[in-house]
Amino acid sequence: MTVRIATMGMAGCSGCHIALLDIGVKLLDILKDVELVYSYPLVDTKNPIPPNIDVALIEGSIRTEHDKEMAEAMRKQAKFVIAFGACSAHGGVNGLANVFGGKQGVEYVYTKTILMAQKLVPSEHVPQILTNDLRLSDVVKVDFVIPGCPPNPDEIASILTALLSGETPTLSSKSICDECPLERLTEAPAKLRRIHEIPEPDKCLLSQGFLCMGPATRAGCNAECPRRGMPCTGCRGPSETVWDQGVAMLDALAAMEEDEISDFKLPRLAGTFARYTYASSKLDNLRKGVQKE
Amino acid sequence: MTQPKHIEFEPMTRLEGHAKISLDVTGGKLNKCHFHIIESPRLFERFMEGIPAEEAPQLSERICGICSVAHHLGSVKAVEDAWGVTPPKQAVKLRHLENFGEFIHSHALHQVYLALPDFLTPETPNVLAVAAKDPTLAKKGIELRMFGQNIIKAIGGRMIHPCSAIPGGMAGPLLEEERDKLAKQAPKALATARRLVKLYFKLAKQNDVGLVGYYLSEPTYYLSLHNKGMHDVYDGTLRFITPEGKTLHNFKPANYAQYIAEDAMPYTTVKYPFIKELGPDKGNYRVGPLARLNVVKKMASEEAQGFTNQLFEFFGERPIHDPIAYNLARSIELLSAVEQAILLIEDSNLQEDNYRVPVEPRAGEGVGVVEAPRGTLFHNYWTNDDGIINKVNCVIATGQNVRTIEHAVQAKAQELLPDLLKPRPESLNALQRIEPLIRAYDPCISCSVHMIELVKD
Repeated sequence: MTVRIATMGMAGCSGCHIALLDIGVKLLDILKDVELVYSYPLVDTKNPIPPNIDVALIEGSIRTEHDKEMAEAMRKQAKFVIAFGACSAHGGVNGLANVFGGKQGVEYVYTKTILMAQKLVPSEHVPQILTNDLRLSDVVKVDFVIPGCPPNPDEIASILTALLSGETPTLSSKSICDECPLERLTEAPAKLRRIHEIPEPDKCLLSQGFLCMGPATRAGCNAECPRRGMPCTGCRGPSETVWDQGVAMLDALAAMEEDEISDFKLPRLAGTFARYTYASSKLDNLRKGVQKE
Repeated sequence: MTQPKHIEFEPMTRLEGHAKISLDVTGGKLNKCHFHIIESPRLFERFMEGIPAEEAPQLSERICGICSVAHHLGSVKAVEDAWGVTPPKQAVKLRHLENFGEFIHSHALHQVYLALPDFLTPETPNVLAVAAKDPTLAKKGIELRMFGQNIIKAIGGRMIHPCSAIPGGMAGPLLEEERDKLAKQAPKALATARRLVKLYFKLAKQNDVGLVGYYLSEPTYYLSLHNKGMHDVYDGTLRFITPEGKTLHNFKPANYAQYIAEDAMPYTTVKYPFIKELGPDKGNYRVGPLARLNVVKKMASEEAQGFTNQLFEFFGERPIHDPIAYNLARSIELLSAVEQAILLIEDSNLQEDNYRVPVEPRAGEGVGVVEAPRGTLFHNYWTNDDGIINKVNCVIATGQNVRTIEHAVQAKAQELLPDLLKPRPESLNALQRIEPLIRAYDPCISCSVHMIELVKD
């Protein structure tokens, strides 16, 4: 039986869609018995969204009224909705704008930039921005989440294969540190360091004082960045056992020698510890005055 | 009296990002036609304020999942410029190779997945239909794109949103085992790229699908980076040429704000750059593959130069103004990127240990300009004494083409209006005669709106 799949993009960068294509030639096999019924980068279907969709992959966060309406419309037609990638799953980097608020941010962009010849905020037939960046599950029921900025192509392939053969897909329950090849040191770092400083090769970056988000972040990418000598920025969101990614990371740091690191100034708390999850973090909920589970 | 009617077609498809076309019609007469970019603004401009500048290359690249390498590199160049850093030669070569990787992936994405269906399977224009009709070509096209992505991953650690460009150089060399894997894939990639150029030339010559001369061929100015006249995607000087092909300005990237200004429109979330001294109406210019071929004097290889000569001969003008020439120019650039990438993969220098120098954060202003697959990309940052970003401005490739796209869409919508007003599927068939034009520019709409503009006063 042909499975009807749809893909859709909200506030995002199209990177999750590209990650889907990065499955490569194998994708043609995976999609063999699939009908791609709605997908703006690949097929020409226009609105309204067609009915009887079996699986919908939704990339991007909910940033405008239009995003919200489209998510609701897709939910009505789709049996199984996947939050596809960091923005859809946790709000993504877009969530960092919640510190300022949407309308103020938009005014800023169109009226205070150095090259602007005239000051005009677009308003005709363009989507109206929401005050807060939202993750997909804030507006519709989500059946499964694929994390990552962007998601790992191998992981997308195995999840799609499982779904298409009627199985329940799963994610890794481990943390990035569990799949990282760098050598962990027993000593705590003497000081925290910024990433323009050159690390010692093959040694755990957190042990060297770099703010590597590995301990608080879900595995599944094969620790791509630490493997390359760059600290994990946490794009895959909280690991299975973690309650809040940013809080967990602060916790991990507090467990280290506090006297030694207390003089370090953190320039941007949200941008450092909740770069991809601020919109769904406890910190942002406190700001919004909302109690969520 | 007929009531005024507002008709919208959404989404524009086989593009990267969100756009729609709207028509305002009264009594069968077209009053207004707009090409709306309706991408959700993500406000990078605001939230990049206050981050340590060395983290900008990994944050600002999230503007675009297709040309993340260009943002990554434009961003790191801007920080290095602000901090007075010169990266080692090996790092510059690695960045060149990484950007060629992106040109291969992004151009192949357009040539195989997005545009080819218009010409090869026009009755069901999508890549799955292409794969059904010509499985070998589809498979080779996919592998060609993956060659580009594999280059990016080998250097940047990840295919999308790479992590390795850092002020002072790169996080690591191109490892030998990675180089060997790439070298193995190279001959096939080169053969496919050659096949695609020839195919696009062949298709252009077939009048029924070629679309040459079908769209409004509007004379505009063109902008591109060049390196002493040579095609270059990472380094060099900027040149504006006039619609007649004369040099208007040849200037250092750092001085871009003296030459370019921007406008906003009420109906679209993208900004419209123009040549400052000429104003928004007369100073319209274009960027991207055709602009680059129009502006540079020489391609890096004889083969690419040969195809470029053929291109100018085929259209019988220089500069070429027909938007459909973008498709052919892109296929030439794709071949050129594969050739240049292979030369760098063979360069033993990339395995050395001289890929990074120490840097000191400091106060400064820096501009980083690279050629993204879709055109010239500008990142401009200001940092404080601690090297923290306190102001940002960017000009994104696609925005610079939107005004010309809109003019041609309006002309075509006027011509096809009776069909556009019919019920589906007639109206959608008419729309399919308009969309290939937008697609020719391969607009990256995600990017064009997510631009980081400036922050605090």
